[in-house]
Amino acid sequence: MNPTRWQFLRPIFEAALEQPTEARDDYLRDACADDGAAYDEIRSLLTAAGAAGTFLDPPTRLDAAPFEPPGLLEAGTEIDAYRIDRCLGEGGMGAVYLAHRDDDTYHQQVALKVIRSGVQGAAQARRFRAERQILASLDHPHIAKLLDGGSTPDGSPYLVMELIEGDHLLRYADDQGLHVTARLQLFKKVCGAVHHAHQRLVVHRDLKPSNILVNENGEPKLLDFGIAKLLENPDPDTANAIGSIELTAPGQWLMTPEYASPEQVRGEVLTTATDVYSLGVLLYELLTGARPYALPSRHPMDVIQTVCGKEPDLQQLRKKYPGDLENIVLKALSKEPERRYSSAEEFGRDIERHLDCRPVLARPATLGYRLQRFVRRHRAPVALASLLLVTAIAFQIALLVQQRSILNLNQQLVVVSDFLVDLFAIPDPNRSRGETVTAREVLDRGLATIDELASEPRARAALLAPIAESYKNLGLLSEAEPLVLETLDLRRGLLGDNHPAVTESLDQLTHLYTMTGDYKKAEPYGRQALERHRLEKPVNEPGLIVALYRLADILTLEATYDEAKDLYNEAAIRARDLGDPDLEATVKDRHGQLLTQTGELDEARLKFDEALTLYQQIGDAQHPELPTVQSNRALLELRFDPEKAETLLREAVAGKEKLFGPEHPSLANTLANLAFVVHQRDRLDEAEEIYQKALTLQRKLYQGEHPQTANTLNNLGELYAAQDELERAEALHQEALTIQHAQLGERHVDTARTLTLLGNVAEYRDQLDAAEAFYKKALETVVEVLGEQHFRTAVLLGNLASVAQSRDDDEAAADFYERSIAVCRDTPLGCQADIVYSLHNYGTLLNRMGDTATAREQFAAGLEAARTFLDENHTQVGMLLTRLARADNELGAYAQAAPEALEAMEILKESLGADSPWTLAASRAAGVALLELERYDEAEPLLRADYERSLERLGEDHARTQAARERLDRVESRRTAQNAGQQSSTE
Amino acid sequence: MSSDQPTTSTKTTKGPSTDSVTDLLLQWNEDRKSVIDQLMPVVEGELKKLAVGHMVKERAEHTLQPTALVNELYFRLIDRERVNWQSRAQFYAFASHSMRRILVDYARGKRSAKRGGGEATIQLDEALGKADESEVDLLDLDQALKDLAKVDEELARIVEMRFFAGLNFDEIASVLEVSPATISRRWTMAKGWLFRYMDS
Repeated sequence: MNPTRWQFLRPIFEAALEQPTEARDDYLRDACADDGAAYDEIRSLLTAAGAAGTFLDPPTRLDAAPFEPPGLLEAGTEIDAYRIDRCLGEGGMGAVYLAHRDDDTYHQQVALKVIRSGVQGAAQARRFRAERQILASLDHPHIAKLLDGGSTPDGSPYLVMELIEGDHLLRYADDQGLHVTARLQLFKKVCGAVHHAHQRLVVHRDLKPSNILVNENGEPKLLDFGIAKLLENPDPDTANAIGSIELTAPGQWLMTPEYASPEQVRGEVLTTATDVYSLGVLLYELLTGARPYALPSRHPMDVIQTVCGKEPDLQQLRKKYPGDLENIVLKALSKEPERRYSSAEEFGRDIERHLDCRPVLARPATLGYRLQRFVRRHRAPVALASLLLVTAIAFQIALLVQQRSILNLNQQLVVVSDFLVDLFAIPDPNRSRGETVTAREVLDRGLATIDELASEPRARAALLAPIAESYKNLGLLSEAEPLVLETLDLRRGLLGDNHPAVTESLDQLTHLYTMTGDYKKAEPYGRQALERHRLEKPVNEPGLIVALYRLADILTLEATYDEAKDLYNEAAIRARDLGDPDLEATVKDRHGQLLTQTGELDEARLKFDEALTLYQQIGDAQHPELPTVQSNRALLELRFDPEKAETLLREAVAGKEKLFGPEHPSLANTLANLAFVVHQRDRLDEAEEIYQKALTLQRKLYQGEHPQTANTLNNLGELYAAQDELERAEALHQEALTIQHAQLGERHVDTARTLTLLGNVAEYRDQLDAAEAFYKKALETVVEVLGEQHFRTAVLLGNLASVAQSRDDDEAAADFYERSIAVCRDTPLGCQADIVYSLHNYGTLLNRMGDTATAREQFAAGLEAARTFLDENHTQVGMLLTRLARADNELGAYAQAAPEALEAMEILKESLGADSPWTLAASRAAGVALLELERYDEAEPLLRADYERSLERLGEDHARTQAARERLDRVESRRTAQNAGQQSSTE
Repeated sequence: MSSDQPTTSTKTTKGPSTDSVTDLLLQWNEDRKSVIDQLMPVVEGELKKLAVGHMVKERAEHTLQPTALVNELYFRLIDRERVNWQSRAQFYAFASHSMRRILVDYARGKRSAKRGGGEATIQLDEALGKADESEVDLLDLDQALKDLAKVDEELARIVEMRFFAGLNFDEIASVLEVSPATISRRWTMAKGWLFRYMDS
């Protein structure tokens, strides 16, 4: 209908509605006097309006505020056997009341705590009761006794506790002017109480001054034991504290951040050690009146950074109580739980020892202490002390050499140099597994000494090279860069261009710039290095192989895939001929990465498996490259088995942490990959946290702009976009784009991905023109670099289809879908799961356009793909079966529709539940098909259920209800007819 | 002008205060254009966050109650002491349009379809769109409303306010500044138009 026509019809329609129902027709005939079409039109609208019934009527709105916090209980309110006297206080968790037992002969006063929380539902209530039992078993003179509990009439749980009157610990100590010994004695009692609870496996989790009251007799009483746990979400999936912090408003945290332990703010599993930490904070405050660190805010990121990263401010403590007490507090406040006191009791006993002036357990964290710890942690026979000694000797020799200006230095220099290489190369995991502790210190000191003393070029070059290499191995890239450059210059000057040492420097620079993401700088060095290796006589075969794959790495990163493949192939063959499985594995791994990028996933998987097999042959389960291969293989696996991918990546992260220490680019990248997998598995809060961790590390390690950082930025941005934080998402994508333009250029697949993501953001904002422009630009690059037959092309075509669909341009949308599906069909594995969704979307579109037969084809193809590439009982399989059945019903192919719909019902009932609209749609389709197939006994219950539900939901007058009624009637009448027929035929 | 001036952004999509939103709402009669410009993003942003929160929480059932969401948003953003019911209606009217867009996006599975960064289209969960009690196919309704708006924008707007924000006739009347009886009639007209459209 065109607007002009409607302008004419509308007033008549409206005026007709103003008439009483019975007069409408007459009015209409009159008003439309000689316009029969208008009469018919409005007539049909009136009929439709009548038939619409409660169509579109919203459910009744509750004008009363359902989101108000429950009000406070009035004095006199009875709760089970208790009567409320007055409110003592109110907090995030609920309110505490002074109450008394109503039936008490001696009128005992109690504290009654009503917990405002979502502790609802049978399972949670059961859990609440079970926990209460445990708490009731705590019987200690310094713990407030839990007397009773239950739930209020409105369902909020409540606890009844011994009423304690007094001030909290800190205020009491200050008001009484307690000196340090009295304070410590009081604190020792607190430790005893906490230990009592720990022995019964109750962790307090929220120890803080306001939970420790001191009564009139000067005895401390601990409140609220185990309450934090009671309130915690019992669902392990959401038990992640970061998640619950983000989801819960400040003040509703189940912890007090000022007193929370690092593992607590990180949301890890809590043990008794968390209470030991909180006791440490408490002791610090009890002794100094201040807290060990100030939180900039209660924002989760601030809290985590401060609690986990900031060392306690010792000045206050040291000024007042140097020595033992400082060490005691520090031990309790160790960031790592295993470094704290092993129990609250041990903590208390150390206080006692201090009071008795005996030596305490807590010792300063000296180098020797750290060394001890290190040796204990890594059972490898590493003696750091002797290592440091050796370093000192090495430098002595170097100095000697330098100071005496011995002319013929060559031999000694070689000795010194090899010596130092061995020494400094220790952080390279190829030499030493897991050790990084003081390498940085050693290097910095070494470098300072060189700068100060070694001005003679030969000595300088000899000393700089190993230090540079070590910095690089440690991931300290910006420190390494000037040293490598200087070494190259020195060597060229001393030895000429053709010396192997110069080639070595070129190798180093190539690797260094690859790590910093400066591919444009890396490539020419890589080419020079390779050329030098090829010309060398005799050929240094391993060196040549490394040069081959390093250059190929750069080319891969620059998306110059064909040349890279050739280089990898040559490197692999040479490594095999050389009989070096280690090198061969490395090459295969890298080749696998290239193939992952180009979407040749079958081949990629083959390469990774070959690499892993080679490592197996070498028989080294701790091989430094192993975590990397695992991580790469895991990313590939993501498309097939996300759970396995996550497991593999977590292993890789653990492996790398052990090998490289906590701050290494390689670890940062694996973390970023882990975040991506967790993201894909839909655990968004957890993913965000890991992304942030990776990003912090990457920014810190790379400093400048690194394409890897850009990838992490993009992934995190995508996560924000999915949560509708579009501005944050856009900012991250723009930052990534800036990096990529500088490092990779416009014609790079990674740059294209950023454009795709920016397109997504624009699309979410309904800025369709902008979205389209982004997609088209990205598509151009992707087709140019990867070719038409690539899943990225398919995805972009799918995105363009969705833009077209948003514009209601069905023809264009259909066209894009067709192209996208065609690409998917011809593309290697990995794209095939995507095709399911494209086919489904396309089919739905065709259906809407009225082409049921073609739509059916899409659904059938989609179903086949879903069965092949998704889980057998995947919701998509059920949905597509439903679509298919409905299309078959429409096409009159009932014999096909019936089994489809019945299967769909089973699957959807399982995955979405019996009441989901999808399940109901499937069951309706099944009913219709069975009816037409004259299988009335089977059809009847389905159609009856459909009718009853429609009746209940939509009312009797609704067209859908009436249609359902009609079908039901038809079953009845046809069954009667059939029975009659059967009877007459038997007669 | 120097470029390192601190920027004072008035647009607060994260955690807008009750006061600021209420103030905006109260300015409605003075400067509508600017109120709309400032209120819209806040309302839409907050509503999306709420909706996403609900979707996450209710993943098992995949239900979204649009009117309940708008309601929750109102209680969250508006200081009820300071506004009268007409202003509230105004607010709901704003929210209705955003709500429609959010639900339709959701129904389209658009957001989830883009997961994987253009790497992979993941999920088209159309059942989500049918979550409303009345079992209306939201995508169909959206399409129908678009077509209705082409011939009669007012009717489409009424449906939006009533269906997506649960406004009653009095409230819609106060927003559109006509009588409640007129709204009731036009609601019937819109329903007739849409019902016929969607049934065909």
